[in-house]
Amino acid sequence: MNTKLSRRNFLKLGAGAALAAPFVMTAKGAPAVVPPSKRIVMGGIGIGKMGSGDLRSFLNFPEVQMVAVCDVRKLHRDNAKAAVDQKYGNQDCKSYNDFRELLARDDIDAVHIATPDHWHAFMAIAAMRRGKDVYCQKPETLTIREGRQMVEAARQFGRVFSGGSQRVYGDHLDIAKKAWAGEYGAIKAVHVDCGMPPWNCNLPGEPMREDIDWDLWLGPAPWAPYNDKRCNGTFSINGTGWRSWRDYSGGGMTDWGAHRFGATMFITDMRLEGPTSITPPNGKDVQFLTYEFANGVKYYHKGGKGPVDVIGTPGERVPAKAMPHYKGGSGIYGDFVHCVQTRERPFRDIEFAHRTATVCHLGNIAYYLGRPLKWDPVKEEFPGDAQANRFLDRAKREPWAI
Amino acid sequence: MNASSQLRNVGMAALLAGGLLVAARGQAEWQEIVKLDFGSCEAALTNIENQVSLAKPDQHGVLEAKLLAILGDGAATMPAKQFACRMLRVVGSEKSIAPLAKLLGDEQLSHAARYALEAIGGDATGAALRDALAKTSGKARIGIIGSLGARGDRKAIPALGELVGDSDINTARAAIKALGRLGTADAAKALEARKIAKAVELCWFTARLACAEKLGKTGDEKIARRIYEDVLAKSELKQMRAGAFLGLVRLDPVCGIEPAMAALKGVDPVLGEAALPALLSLLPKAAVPVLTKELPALPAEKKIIALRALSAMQGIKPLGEELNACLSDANTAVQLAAVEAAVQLGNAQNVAVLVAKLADDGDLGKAAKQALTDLQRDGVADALVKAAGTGDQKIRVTVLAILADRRDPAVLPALYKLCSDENQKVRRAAVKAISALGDAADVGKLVGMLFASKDSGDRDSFASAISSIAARQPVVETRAFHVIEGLGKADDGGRVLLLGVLSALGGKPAYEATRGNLASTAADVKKAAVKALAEWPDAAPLDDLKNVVKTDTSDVNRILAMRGYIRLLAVSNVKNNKRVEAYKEMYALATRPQEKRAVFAGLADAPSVQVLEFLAGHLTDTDVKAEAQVTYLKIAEELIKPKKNEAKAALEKLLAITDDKNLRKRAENALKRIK
Repeated sequence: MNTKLSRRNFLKLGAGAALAAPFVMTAKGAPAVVPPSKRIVMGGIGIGKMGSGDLRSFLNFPEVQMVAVCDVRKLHRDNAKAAVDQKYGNQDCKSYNDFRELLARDDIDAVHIATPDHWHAFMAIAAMRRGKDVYCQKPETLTIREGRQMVEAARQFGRVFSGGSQRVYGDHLDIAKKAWAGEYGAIKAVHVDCGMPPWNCNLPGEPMREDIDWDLWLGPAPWAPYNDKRCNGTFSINGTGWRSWRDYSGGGMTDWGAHRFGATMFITDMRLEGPTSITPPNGKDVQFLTYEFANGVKYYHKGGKGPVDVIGTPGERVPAKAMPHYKGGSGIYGDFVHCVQTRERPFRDIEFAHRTATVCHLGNIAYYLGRPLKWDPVKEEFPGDAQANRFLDRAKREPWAI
Repeated sequence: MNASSQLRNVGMAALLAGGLLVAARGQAEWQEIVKLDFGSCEAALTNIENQVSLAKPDQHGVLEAKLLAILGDGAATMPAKQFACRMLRVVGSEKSIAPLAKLLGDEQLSHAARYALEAIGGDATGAALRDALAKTSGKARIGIIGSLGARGDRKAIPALGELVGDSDINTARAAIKALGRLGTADAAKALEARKIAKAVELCWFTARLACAEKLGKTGDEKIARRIYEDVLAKSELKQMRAGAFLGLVRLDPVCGIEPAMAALKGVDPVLGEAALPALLSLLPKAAVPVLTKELPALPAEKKIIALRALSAMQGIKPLGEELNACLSDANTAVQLAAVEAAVQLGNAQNVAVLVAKLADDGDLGKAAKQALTDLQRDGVADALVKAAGTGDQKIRVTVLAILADRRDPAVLPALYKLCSDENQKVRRAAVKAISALGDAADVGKLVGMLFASKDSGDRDSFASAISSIAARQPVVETRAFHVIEGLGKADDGGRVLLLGVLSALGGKPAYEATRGNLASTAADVKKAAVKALAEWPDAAPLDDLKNVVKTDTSDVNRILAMRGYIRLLAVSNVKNNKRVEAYKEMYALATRPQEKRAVFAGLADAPSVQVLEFLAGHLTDTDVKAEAQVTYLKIAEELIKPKKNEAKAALEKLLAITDDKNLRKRAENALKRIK
């Protein structure tokens, strides 16, 4: 290894101005009342359906001081502000229509984001560039390129980024424990049940509601007229809300796929890997969308018993491995709060979240093109497949650019 | 597009395996979508999108021509052109570039055009975007700048550089971002060549760091280092300083160890915070010895951070004694961090110290238990077995629970030895651990141990373990084999326990073996057999239990059998009318109100006029009238639709005799519904 780095200069630069105590360390079992100076100052962006749940969860932590909420819907931000003010018994929480104003506040250490998916990357990266840690609802990305950019921003600025899928760890814990204990033997395949790809939205325009900033709701997505079923936050993926539409979401494939493919990658200890081929069903010999990994493990979209169905090697055991857990002792939110304090990487670190979302996006692309695809999980591209590579990203509507 | 169209899309791969359906669709749909408005032409859009997305390469040209025809059609609507652009993203070629480029200045369609152009490769696309840069303004130009950055168009650098200092802040910001995304030496130079407005400073530093990142990866380390050092020295933005510091460490990880350690120990809050991510992710294994060596000398707060940094590194050697030193640190928070790090950093050397922490009732004890459960290194299991062998009873029991949770059957021989330990709680914890880890082969062994044991509590433990292990065996018909075999050799006490096990296992062989013991002359054994059959998992013993109810001389056995019979009747496949008769028969045989009430509960799930009539005879029986009336009302309510008149009569009858306010209210409401 060369020694090009000027050690003396580097050290000189590193010994910058002597300021206040550098770390906020809180041991487990944090006291019920945390001094304001030690609290994580947070803001919430996208505080409708999922976001209001995230907000309530973070409000329960004595280590957190929520100071700002943001939503393009007035009703949502008014409700959220009321919830925060009620919690603290004051009127101090500020509400914003435009997330850029919230992110511009230097006093905010971390944000939670629960907008529709087409905003996640833009907002999260903007937050990290402003030195904020991020808790972002799943599915964390809309495109594969966005995911890589989010990872790079987190690493570049040393930020803590937790994806927001509590079900990855929590829903299939018995299966995960069994797998990490080696009880399945060598795992050959996993059947994963989640929804299908999204659709193009061609809904007609409706009279504009006064309480929504429609242009800001659309943001980097293609222009379209307002329609409640285009932007509704319903969890149903049946054409009645944004989770159904390709411009804003990866559909059921990413919505529940983030949970269940994420759990599968955890169960198989392949959290940071990707498949090398994706084959959609062909009505002949391929019954289910099939992902094949370099180690021979296959994931099937659907076709199993239950949401996650592990096919191991009967009668075989493999050596047990230490299974990762949440840190901090209070689920995924506690994991994030703990990691913001200690600067550790959370369980659902952005690399894991990005890799999970990539699996879902790859499935969507294979379904859309209706043909087998090869994938290079290191370079994150379809080798020699110019057409498939067109789906790695999407042009952002002006003036939005990451 | 709806759910059916989605499924059509997915299934189309199979349908189109032999060829494309373009020709079959005809021209009508293509003509229809020229006039597309949001909300119209649903079917045509779906069909055309399916054709496009699933088309084979040799059909792309035909489809592209049709889509370009829409773009060129003066009568085509904005949504039609937007849709055509979306589809050109899928099948567009160089032929599409010029028609798309024409739309770049169109406020409504500029984004749609870029949606396709960004996807279509080749320098011609770049040339078109660069050309449009000079001809557009405002948002359209900002979008084009973004697309040039996203495509990594190096030829655009001079033009983008010109815009870095643009008086329009949004344009300047877009150009700076694009140059950052390009990340070349020329882009870095272009960023530095212009004076920037204060309002774009954050964006400018971000872009410069992005350039440094890319340059560091492509071998231009000298430029990268200069940028990092410049940003670190000049930026007042803490995240930019942290980013620059991390970049420098990343640039040369070996040399970065020292400054990262200095930052870790230092007082600069920005660099201090950045040091941990640096140690976590950037430094190679060479950092580990340095960090390990520094560990004892670090103040408590930094020691915790260092432990976490080390534990997050993959594949490093266990610390051994250094970890023991932290586990025994005077500061409890350090101890806790050391315990939590033990899963990654510990080995057999640390087991004894971790086991000692189990005495703590708080977080430390909990963390130690988790660490010992998860710690997978050579010799750890043996060290835990050793710890289970001696010492404080409470800790030994906890260690045995840990051995069970570790799910490693290799420790079974040691657990069997502990089944004869002097300490009763240890013995039973060992059996419990065996019940978690044992396999079919262990059942016979445990049956033998049950017979050999003289301690009734131990015998219960063995029975429970046998039951757990046998119940996990997948084949119902064979899993009771060892238990049945043991039943034939057991004394009366053993038989009583094993009969209880058989009731949990079920299956035909177990059933036959159990009912065979109904003939036992030993009262306890017979009672255990009745109890086992009463708790049977399926309805197989119905006739046996009925026979006990009718013929047995023991009140206890009759009551057990009757309860079991009533319970199993509810889960049986016996048809409703026969089931009602069976309940009535049991009612007649019942001598206690408890069983009579249980009969009513069963009848409640078999609503019929026949049941109403039966219950009518017991509505005023002193011991059971409350349950009889509730059941009577429930059935009357359920019969309102199928047997309106009978239900009405029953409700009126109930109102005439009951003084229960709630029942009266419900009955009155039900009558209102009938009316």
